[in-house]
Amino acid sequence: MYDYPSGDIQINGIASSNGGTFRRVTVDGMGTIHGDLTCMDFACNGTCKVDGSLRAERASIDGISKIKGAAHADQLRIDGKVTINGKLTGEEFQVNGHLKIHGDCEAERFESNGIFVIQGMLNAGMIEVAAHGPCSAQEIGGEQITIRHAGSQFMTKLLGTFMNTHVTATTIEGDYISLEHTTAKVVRGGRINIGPDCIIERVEYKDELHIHPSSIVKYHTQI
Amino acid sequence: MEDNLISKKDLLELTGISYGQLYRWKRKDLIPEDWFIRKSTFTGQETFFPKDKILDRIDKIIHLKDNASLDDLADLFSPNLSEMALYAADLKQRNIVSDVSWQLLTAQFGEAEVLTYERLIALYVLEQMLQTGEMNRDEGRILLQVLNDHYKRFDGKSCDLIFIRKMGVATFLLISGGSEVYLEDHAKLVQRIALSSSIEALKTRLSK
Repeated sequence: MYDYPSGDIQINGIASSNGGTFRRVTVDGMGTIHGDLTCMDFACNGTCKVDGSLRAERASIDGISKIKGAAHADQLRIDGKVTINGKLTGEEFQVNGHLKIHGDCEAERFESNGIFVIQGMLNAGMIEVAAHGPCSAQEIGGEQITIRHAGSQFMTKLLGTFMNTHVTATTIEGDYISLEHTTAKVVRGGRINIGPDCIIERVEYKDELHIHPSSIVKYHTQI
Repeated sequence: MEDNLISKKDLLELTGISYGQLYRWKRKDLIPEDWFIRKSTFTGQETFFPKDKILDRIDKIIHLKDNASLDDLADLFSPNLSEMALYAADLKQRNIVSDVSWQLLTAQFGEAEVLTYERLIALYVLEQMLQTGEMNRDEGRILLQVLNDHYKRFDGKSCDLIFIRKMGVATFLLISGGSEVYLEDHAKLVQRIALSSSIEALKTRLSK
């Protein structure tokens, strides 16, 4: 797709660089990129700040990264903490750490095993969330949406006394939706399965609806 | 704001598409972001669309998607001018360019029924500069040549056009957007135009 030059950026220690187009960008320490960055591989194992937007074919972030602009990665894996001010787009995302996005998040496949806070909309073909803490998105939309709680029931209950481990969203819409431990105002879709511990104000479904007895659904209707 | 809105729920019912399809099309930029209008209703926040536009668009997508990939369709619907060509007659009809600029263009590059994106920009910039009265027609020819030869090299990145005159001799420069420029004392910077803003202006003119 892109014709990448042969240049790399490698930061070991504390350094900064101007942006540009590169083949591999590796940050093992503290790095600052002043400007937009386009690269094939982006790997951050320390602290990295991008003062612009990031575009990478593959990105893996194990440390702490802040991206001031928008981010695009075909393959993205987060094991650390990432803050993105713009929107995040791409194909396949795997979030094992902490992801915070001020804009929207769009992907074909979104898998989360950590915590995410998305102030815009989470839109993906397939969304699989195992919540380890308070996750939230303004709106969740996609084809297949699965939200479940992570770990054992006991641990969740224990953690639950300290912090809210629910996934919170205003609206959840999709063709196949399966929820656990979720708080939402409206859930809309084709086949909906409301599992344990959900608090939902309104459910609108087309084909099928199951509600677990421990969940609270104030109002549901077939459309 | 437009009054003629349709809610997402009604839209899906009317067109028979699923949530997944709608969201996929949004992801692929087949449906522009600003058509998603959020409004609060008694059930909480709901998404609405401009009715005529979205129905027309979905109709097109459904009919075209068997023959073209979603990415091709995205290009087709993209507001980006680089994918666009315009009929010369259309251009005159919309009063975007004057006859003078049109003649200059055709004298240089020959008559053309369809204008490509690059020509369109060149023509629009020419028109702008001629109208300020700072540039004469002969200089306009140089301008067209410069844009024709070099504008492509910026490859969609922002660039500024600089018009300098020194002792009556005119020169045009194309530089990457926002760069600083220093001139010798005798040279006069007549005009500096950010081409990206011209493109935007042109787009809004065309979308009317």
